[in-house]
Amino acid sequence: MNTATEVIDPEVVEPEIVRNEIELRKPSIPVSVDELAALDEDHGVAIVQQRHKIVDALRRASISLTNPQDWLLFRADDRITAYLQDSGAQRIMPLWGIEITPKDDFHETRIGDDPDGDYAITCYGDAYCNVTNITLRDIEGTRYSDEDFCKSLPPIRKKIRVQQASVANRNGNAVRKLSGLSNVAIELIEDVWKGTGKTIALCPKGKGYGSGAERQGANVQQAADVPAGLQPKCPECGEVMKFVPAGKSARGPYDAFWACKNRDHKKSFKHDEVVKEAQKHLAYQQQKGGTDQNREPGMEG
Amino acid sequence: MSAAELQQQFNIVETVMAAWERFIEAEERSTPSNRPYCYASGYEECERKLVLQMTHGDKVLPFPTETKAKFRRGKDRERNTIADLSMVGRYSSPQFEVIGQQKRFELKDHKGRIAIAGKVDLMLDFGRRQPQIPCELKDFHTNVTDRIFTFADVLQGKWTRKAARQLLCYLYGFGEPMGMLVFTRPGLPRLVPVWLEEHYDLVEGFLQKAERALDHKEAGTLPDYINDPAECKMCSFFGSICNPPIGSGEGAKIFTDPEDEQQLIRMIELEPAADEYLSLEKWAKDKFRGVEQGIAGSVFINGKWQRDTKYPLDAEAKKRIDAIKAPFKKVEDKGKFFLTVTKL
Repeated sequence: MNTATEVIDPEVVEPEIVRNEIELRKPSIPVSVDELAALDEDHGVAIVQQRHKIVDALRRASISLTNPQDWLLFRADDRITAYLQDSGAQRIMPLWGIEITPKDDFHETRIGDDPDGDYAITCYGDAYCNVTNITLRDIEGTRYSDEDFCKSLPPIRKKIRVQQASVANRNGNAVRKLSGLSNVAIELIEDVWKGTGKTIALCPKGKGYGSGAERQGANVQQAADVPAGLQPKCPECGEVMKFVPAGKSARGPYDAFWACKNRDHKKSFKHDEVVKEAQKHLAYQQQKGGTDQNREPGMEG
Repeated sequence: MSAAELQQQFNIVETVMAAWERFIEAEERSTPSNRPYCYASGYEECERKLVLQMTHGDKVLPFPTETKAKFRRGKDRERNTIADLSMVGRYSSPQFEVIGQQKRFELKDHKGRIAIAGKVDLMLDFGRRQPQIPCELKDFHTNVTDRIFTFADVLQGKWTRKAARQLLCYLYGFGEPMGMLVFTRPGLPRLVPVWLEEHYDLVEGFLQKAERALDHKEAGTLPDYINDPAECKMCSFFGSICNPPIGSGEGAKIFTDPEDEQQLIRMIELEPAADEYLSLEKWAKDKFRGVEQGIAGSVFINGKWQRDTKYPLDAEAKKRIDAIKAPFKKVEDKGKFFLTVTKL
């Protein structure tokens, strides 16, 4: 009788990792391309599309939480983009569940050789987004002591204010990067704000929108609006007047105007009126045919 | 010279406003400095801030001109109220006098150091052998004071909780059992009685906090961060001398069940119809009230009277009911929940 126990080779069964496909749609759940590709049919593609849809919805929800003053518009040629300012970044932070851990101390860099002169302050931090499970390291924030918000403060308090501003800048940078809302096409903002009463027209304007006064609402005015030869002449000396762009004085903002280079000659013309006269003259010339280079605006007939 | 001509010379409104701002800055000048101890009026939830007020108080940014103007108005109102109180005392039965204005007190810790110090606004003296009632006057926005009826309300408010502990410290310091908070208002002031015996724990808590703050100050150390972003946001040291980690919660909850989205979209689609239904229902109930049977074109109207119980209360009755309800009042920060859904 054979009493030896028969050895049975066990069948090795690989454990089946079952992943809930509905859970995988959440951007916070890590998943690899291989794992997605291994799913049946086009489920992997559907998951990627769903993740994209969620992040897109988060961005739209973020925009809906902001107000016009949270954005700064920049214009380059015909393209206008909106930059989410630190105040807007603060507003959308809870939506993305962003955590920021400061690193190191503040770094101060002198601008120029004067030891008592202006400086830049930089701070760093790591940021983590709970919704997308993304970590960004060494986010930087920098502000300067010669900026308008702090330059009139006494030295100790100026430094505190610049430090606080650099922290706000760092936090804003973290939020902008993690949410993908650094530079946003205004068409997207307008689409999200449709029917809410908010409008791009109320957003503050930055680079590409002309002078400070023009950014505050004055029309963009420039010398080229008036063709050469139709530029006004000083009634006292007959010299072609100089174009003065719109600006701001102690009395308040002013529109562009034309004035004589000789400051003793006080007569000036408003730019809008000069442009109107020039256009009238050109229209008249078109009717008559030819141009009169030596005419002054306002002397038709 | 006409007003228009004057305006051409200089902007009248801007000139007057600029002068007003210079006036406020000149009259309300104050220089931030390091505190030698905690101020009774300066209770903070954050112990770290109490220490920083003692070690880095001189670096705090000055208040903006707008805030200084508000402080000035508050001080004016308080002065007027004190003047009125002196007259009110003659109409009272028993009569009282206003005494002890800005009387200083100090609370010492176990090591004999001054931990908390302050000055009481005034005391009401009801005569010989009667207790004196310390009073603290406060001028807050009407939106704040209109919601204050009890000491519990004062403790709950973010801005008013400092006043609560301030008066308790005075009572503890002067050995008086009872005091009164006087909140100025556009109409009659809101008077809130405060009993020390019921709130010893609050004074003890503040004193212990102040003692720990002094220990840290002497050791050159700082307590841990408070871990409350709402407190940090309001702090003048935040983002410079104090740089805590910032958390903004877990973020938006993501619901991935497609049925959830479909139901919510359907809800949004139906909302205009629901509003229209409610509006028409109200119109119909108003127009056809009392019509037990009626025909309107192809529609049959069928109404029915039912018994209803009403309690037409007069103002006096409502007041008595409110007084009965008052002691049972319970405020929950997360009591009600409002939901809105928006298609993105």
